[in-house]
Amino acid sequence: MYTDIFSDHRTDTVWFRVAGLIFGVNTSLGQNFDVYLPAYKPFRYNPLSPEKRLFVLETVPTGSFDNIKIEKFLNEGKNDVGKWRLYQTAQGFCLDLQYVEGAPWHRMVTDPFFTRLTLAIDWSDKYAIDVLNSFTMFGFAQAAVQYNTALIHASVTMKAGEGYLFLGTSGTGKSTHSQLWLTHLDNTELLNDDNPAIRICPDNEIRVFGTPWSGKTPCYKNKQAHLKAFVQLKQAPHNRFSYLKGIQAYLVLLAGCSSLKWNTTLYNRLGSLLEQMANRVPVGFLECRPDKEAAILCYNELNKK
Amino acid sequence: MKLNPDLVLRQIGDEYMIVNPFTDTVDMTDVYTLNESAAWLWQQLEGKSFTQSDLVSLLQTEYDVDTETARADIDELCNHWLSSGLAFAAE
Repeated sequence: MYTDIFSDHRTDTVWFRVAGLIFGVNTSLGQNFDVYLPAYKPFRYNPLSPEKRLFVLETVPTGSFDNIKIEKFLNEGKNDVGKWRLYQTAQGFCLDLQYVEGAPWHRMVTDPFFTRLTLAIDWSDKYAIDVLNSFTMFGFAQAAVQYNTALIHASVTMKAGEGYLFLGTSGTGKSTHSQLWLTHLDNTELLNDDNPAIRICPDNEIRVFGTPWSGKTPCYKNKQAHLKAFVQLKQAPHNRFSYLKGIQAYLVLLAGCSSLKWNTTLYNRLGSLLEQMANRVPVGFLECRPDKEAAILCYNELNKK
Repeated sequence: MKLNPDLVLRQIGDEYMIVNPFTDTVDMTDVYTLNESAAWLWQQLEGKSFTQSDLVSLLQTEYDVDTETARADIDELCNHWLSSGLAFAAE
């Protein structure tokens, strides 16, 4: 499944390494990809020997896939990257995306394991760069699962080499809680504010990694930390910390990840990954106010001997 | 009968569960919890074809339970597994 990077080598392919996994983008932006998308700059990678890669994303002229044969409509939705529709094709999947109402639709086709992504992008769209970013992130999220890695919707702080990952539905105050750590706990740093990667590394350690995807906060750090804990946040009029166990812990992690259920192999790989994480990493539950006490309570509880 | 081959039994701590993402409702996943004996049976049955009476004897090899009780338990278990798509009737 892993393909040698030099087998798709083209002079215009730009390589990146996120959470230890290499992917390439081959677009009309050429080597300027990370000039337009500076969030990727810290992750730029220059392969020197034939290494394995996760995927290559290539752009083709808009309209290239207008006549592709759709086998089945799978799902549609709306989120912070716009409106999307997902279809099954004979070769894998087809994903359509419209960044904002009235903007053009873009279409990407991929094999079922997301190792080769081809994007028919409409460069006349003023959001074309954001669209390219969204498709790249989507491809990474799916392809990485095969390598014990998941993107998770969370904000992460780092203290003494250890990562603390805050989960919760949008609007819960994940970023706010991270900011409270930065303000009130010494030597704390923001690792990522929206979509870090979590991985069971080849040495069997569980780590959290910065990525080029950090939501509205420009925090694109090519850094990693030992994953100390997950904490599910919930707004409350009081501050109270407890631990989630068993099924509850697992479901909190599952809710933070997005894997396409239509590839059963990938879906079950994600399940196994999160099962191991829920068994090995503490999952806290913090009912909290947006104040100093909440941050200190959370840190102290997680560091009790 | 046969277990639904797409589903995987998960153990987190001392709890057992199966998540079935393929329900009739879009965007909903069904979560089934299994007790220890049901989880043990599930593990024995993966990839196999079986009948209800196979399950009764299997249960009795591992648990000290009389035939009548075992039959009633297995009957209930199979109805639940079949109605929720965790298992299929053999073709």
